[in-house]
Amino acid sequence: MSSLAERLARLREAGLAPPPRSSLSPTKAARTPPGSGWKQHTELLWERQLHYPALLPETFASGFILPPGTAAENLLFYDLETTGLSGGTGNTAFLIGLGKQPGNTYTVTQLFLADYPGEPELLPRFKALSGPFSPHISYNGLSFDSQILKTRFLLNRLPPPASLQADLLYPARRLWRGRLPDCGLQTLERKVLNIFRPDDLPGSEAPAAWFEWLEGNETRIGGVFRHNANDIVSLGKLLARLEEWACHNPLGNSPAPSGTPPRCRGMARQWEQHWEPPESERGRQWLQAGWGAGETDCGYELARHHKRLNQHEQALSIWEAILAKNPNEFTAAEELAKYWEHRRRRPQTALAIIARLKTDTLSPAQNEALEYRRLRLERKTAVPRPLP
Amino acid sequence: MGLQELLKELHGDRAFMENVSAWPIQPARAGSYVPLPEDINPALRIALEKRGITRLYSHQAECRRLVREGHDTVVVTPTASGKTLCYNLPVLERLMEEPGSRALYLFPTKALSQDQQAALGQILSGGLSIPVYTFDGDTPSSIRLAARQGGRLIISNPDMLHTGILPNHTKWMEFFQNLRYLVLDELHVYTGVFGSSMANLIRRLQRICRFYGSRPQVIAASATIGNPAELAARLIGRPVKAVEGSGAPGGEKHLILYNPPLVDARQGIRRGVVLESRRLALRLLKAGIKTIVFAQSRISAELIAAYINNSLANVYNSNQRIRVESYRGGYLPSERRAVEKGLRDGTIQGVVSTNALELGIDIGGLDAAVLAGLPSSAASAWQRAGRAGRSGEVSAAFMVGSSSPTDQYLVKHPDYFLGRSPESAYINPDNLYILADHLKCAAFELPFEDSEHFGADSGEMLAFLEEQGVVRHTAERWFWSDRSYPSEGVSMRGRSSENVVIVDTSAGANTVIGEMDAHSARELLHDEAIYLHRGEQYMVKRLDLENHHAYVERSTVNYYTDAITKSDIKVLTNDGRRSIAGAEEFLGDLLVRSNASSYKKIRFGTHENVGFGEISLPEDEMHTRGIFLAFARDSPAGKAWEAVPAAMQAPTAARTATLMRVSAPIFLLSQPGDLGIAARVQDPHFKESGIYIYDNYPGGIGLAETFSGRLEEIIRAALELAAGCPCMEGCPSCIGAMDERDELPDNPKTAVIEFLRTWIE
Repeated sequence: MSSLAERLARLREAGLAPPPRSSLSPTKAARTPPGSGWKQHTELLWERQLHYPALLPETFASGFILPPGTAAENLLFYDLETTGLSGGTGNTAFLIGLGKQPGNTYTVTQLFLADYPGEPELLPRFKALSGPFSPHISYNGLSFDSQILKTRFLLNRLPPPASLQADLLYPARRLWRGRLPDCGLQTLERKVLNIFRPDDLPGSEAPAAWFEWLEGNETRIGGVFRHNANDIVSLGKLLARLEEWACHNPLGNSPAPSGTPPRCRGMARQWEQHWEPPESERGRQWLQAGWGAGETDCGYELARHHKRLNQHEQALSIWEAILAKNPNEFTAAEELAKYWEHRRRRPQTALAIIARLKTDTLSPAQNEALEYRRLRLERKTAVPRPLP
Repeated sequence: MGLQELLKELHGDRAFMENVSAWPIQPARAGSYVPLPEDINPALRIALEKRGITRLYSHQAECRRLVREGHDTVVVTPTASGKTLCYNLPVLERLMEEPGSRALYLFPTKALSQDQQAALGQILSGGLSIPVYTFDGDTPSSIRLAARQGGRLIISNPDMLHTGILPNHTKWMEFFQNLRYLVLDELHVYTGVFGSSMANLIRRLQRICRFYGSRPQVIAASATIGNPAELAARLIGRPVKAVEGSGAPGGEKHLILYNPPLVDARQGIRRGVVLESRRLALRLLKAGIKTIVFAQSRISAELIAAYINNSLANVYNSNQRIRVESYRGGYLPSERRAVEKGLRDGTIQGVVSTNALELGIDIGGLDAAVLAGLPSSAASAWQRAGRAGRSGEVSAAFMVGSSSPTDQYLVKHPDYFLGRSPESAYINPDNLYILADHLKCAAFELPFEDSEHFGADSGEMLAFLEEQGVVRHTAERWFWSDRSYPSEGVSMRGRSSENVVIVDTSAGANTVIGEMDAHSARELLHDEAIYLHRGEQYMVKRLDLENHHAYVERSTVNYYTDAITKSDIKVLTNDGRRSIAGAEEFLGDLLVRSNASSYKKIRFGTHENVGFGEISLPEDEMHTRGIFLAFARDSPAGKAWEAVPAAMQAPTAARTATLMRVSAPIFLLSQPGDLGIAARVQDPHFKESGIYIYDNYPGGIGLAETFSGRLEEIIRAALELAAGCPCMEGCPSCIGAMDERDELPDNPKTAVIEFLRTWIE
């Protein structure tokens, strides 16, 4: 068999293989990355610091997201830019942004990998900078960034960092799902933080920008640096905004924080994350506010609380109100039927309530449950047969 | 009536015996046993004894010995000879001796993995605690973490290793660090494209293991093929010891080669294989004999099962208490399990199956097998025939030949199944395209060192990938530099994904009625082609090659179409010339351009040409490996060629090519479509007449090269096929039907026989 190179050459002659790439000119000379403040840490590792006015409160007292009383100076925000968008061992992190607020400035440190062989320096540097801080706060870092980092450490035969992760994606989803078109960080920035990035490079273009940088083309890499720094700043601001909402009493008179308000039900749910029953007072406030504004899901939840606390009259009035608003609400009708049948022993009333439901709008499972209930109630209400 | 009596009855049945072309009998064979080895782990001994295993077959003991000496080993055994214990025994022993060690089992299909997990579970239920997990596409994510971290023995398949495990190997760090054994079952399945991909997948696995400091030993199990040790060695890139010769006992085995009677001798038409097989199966079932019928396709499996059940249907005697089920791919796992169970516990007496039951799924013992049409390989014929035969008892396999040339050859050659070495498996791990694909996946998994080898010369190939922009060379290493996840775009099983789906759009419907490979679709599914499918006639409205769809509609025209394809073969390299089987052979890289440019409309019945049409499809271009077999002057082939009258040379060469195409699968584990064969009178490149034989797969899969190694046998088979066929001037069972339009001066069949005979004798 002829050598592979010859065979490839012949394939090219025959037009079956792609032509060699023309722009193949790996620049060996050390280049300073575009933008200000870059210092060469080792041959292929660059580092810079950007300073912003403090954007976090000194302590997070509420316990809404972080344990109550967490000091801002212990927190680390981080975000990676990688060569691929899915997982796997072939996905390399080429830029790591870290955010801290040690005193009255918020600093963003960026570690930039100028080429693949610098990775063994990049990873220990990240560990040294991030190690003393906890938790590590990210957006989708639980399933993506922290996993990529772990893989990179293992591939380089280094012990991976064991850090406590706080991923803001999950509370953000709890609070704004349904209120926003999606829960991406960019959307939250615009709608919740009222920040608009005019010249932003989409995160999905980051891999291409780095590959271009490797080939000596610097046009887009600066955009990735800015994008990453902006993400780190937004992360800090998002946590601060979440704390503002945590401190806001929806039933009080103080003005609400700016930006799209969260779903009341979501706020209550987030409060419940860290509280044992009886339900958190703060959660209850949000449910009441939501119910006051006519949000049915808050009403149901509130009624559930009342029911559990044996406050049946209050629960009753909520279900009745829901059913009055929407005569075909299955759950409200069902709860009312249960109440009248079991608590007040008046199956007649219960039967009247469910008889009003229009069965054609219900799901098959609901219809089945309904039928079962109806039969039982009819049995209970049947007039005893007169004796012959 | 028992099988023994029925066989006696058949022997005396003249009508039956007229169609039997051969009836060889393999005498009963006593088992060769050895006691459980002294040094076996005591807990394992107890577990085995609980399962009733108190001694080993000699081949099981031999396999254990070789494995414990550290050799990579392949076991070659017939069905039902305790194959799985050959690898389970040494693996379980090691896993018990070394508490951290791990093993990986790969099966070609998911169904087999499940069977294996059940089998292991039975041994392990004897008080051994070794966590076994099946890890495949069906594994729920809740179990995946436990499997990765706690699984000592992982059962998976090549596709899962390819896209799931290797690209995420850091999640499997502990597993790879301690990987002690790699078990490859059904090794003979890894041939052609699948085998060539598999060899590269194993290179990738070995590379990851090196990274974690382990070197798993390989234990493979294969059906009887011509070159098991060679295949295993090529797959794993290391020499392999073979254990051949089974120590398992075998009952008396009858092999009945049955050729359905001729209906039309002149055109070589025989009675249909489906009906003949049904008749045989009914006769067996009614005699109370547990029977399995193997059909060639899913449709014929359903048909035969339905025919049998219709014939048995009788409410007064509940179908004579005979229950027959069909079994094929496409059934739900629970449906399959139910049939398997019914066969094992005896509530089902008969089953009609496709090759789905051929691989090692446990269905207990049956007495007789009916093969409706011979499978494409002897290995597979044996696996099917081996489904009949409980230990020590008499069994019978009826092989019913169809009118295909291969079947017609095999049905007359019992020695092919009994004595001679069956087909060779072939792979080409260095197929440029397959290699390039797997090199990408490997680079994604770990950067390549400059000095590193991956198959042959990985440096050149990596430089090629750098030109494509997917890897980057720096600091003496090659790094993956593309945003994609390469294994998602690489199929382990070759071009199946490129099949054209045939959609029936009659009356506004959109029903998928079949599929066809893209290559054949150009000839049979071009715009306005008449496509015949299960007796229905369709006209192709549009062939969309880009999206792999052909839209057809019912039609009632009175003609069919025949595409005129021109193939132009350009020789890219000439790697050498040698004399072989009386001809001259050139080996090299070929560029095959084929183009279906027009088609003829031919009236049904009269075969009149009633019109032409244009086909506008882009040229199909393929780079591959192949040989040119030249009838060189002064060689025996050349002399035979010169004796052919000039007017008969082209038809003779074309028919010789046809015969080679149909004979090749007898000696190579391949399908007729895997090889491209083109006859040339006075080839412009070689300036001689001859035949091109090339791999019908981009880059070549090693088939043409293996073909030339068995050329002489192939020519002899071709000659026997033509000479032994009762037809007059050629039929679909030998050189192909006579086409009146050719207006040949002589009988082409006589000319071909004369040519081949002069050449080879």
